[in-house]
Amino acid sequence: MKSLPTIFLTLLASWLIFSCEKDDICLEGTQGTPRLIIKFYDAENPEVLKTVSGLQVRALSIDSIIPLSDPLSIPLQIDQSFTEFEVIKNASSETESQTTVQFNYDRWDEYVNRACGFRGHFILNEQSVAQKDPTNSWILGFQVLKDTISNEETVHLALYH
Amino acid sequence: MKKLCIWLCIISGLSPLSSSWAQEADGIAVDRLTVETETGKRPITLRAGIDLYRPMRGQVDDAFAGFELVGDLSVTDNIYIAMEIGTEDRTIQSEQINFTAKGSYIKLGIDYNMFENWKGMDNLVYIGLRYARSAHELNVNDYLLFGTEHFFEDTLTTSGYSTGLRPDLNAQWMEFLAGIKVQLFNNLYMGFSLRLNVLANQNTPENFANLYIPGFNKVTDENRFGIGFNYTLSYALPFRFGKKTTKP
Repeated sequence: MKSLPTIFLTLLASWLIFSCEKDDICLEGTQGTPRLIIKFYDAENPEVLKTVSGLQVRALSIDSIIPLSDPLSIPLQIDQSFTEFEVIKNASSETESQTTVQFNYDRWDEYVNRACGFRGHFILNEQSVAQKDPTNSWILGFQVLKDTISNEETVHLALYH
Repeated sequence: MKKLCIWLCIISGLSPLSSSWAQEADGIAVDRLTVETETGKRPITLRAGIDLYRPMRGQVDDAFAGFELVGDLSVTDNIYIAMEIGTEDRTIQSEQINFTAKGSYIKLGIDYNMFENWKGMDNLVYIGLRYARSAHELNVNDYLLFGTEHFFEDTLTTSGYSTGLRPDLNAQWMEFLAGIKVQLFNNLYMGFSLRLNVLANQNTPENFANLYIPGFNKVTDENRFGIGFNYTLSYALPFRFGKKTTKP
């Protein structure tokens, strides 16, 4: 029974230790809400990648150009179920050609942890890619390679030109 | 300093109340003395009270409402069967997520008094153990979606998607506690206890987590420990059961 004061003090000390709260930090490298990954292929030879010269992608809702990367990574808006982009080929040159593309999708959110919260997943729906004027577009076709957008490791969409 | 003032106000506010209780209780106290001389044993004492911290916090914090009843029953001179029952309703902004935890809990266990009183005194310095369980629900009010790109403006998701109620949740845990109870007047006690909680079992809400459990407090991702606290005012009712156990 002599050990009882020790137990008492141990409890007190551990209470103090656990009452210090650690900051919750969402670890870097945790997969967040993914972007749509696009690769461009040759329309005449669909197996072969074909780069687009002078590519520029502008989000119409905020009139701002998305940073280019390889493969092209397109952020999707979460406050609506579609995002419109103006996709420009040969930007700022005489042969400039543009088309308006709309991506349509559904979204569901997955709980990750306390620090990171929820992250989104997108599912491209039936009208996944819609062009305003497909007959006069430089983008001749598309193929959905993966309709569930959960990470940025795979290519989700192929565009042919 | 500000906190100290609040405590002083509370204690002084209660003192006229408690002295009137003490007067009422005089008769009972005398009874107890006679009982002691008759049998040489203390009567069984039931102590019941409320937690003062939760209602007070509810007054100053709009995001919190809570109430806790406490009780203990003396088994031997130093061992008590103890219990707490309470409810909590708390809204928390945790990083990106705003949620409300609502529910009730029950804690049952024993207290062991380590304090050697002088004759006529009845103070406690005790350690204790509880088994506790909750029945609660969580509601995700809104959240910011976690994204590494901030190309579009961050939008709060306030309805649909992963917002909404996660009903019918429960958790079980153990509590190790240390506390004191000071006899203010004849039968009136004021006390506090510090609790170290160890989560044993929980049912995880769909597509969310028990970030806060009523009675347990904050649940962290890293470990199963939590901390708790109460500050109680209780009143003791010494009584004997109808049957006399002692022989003449």
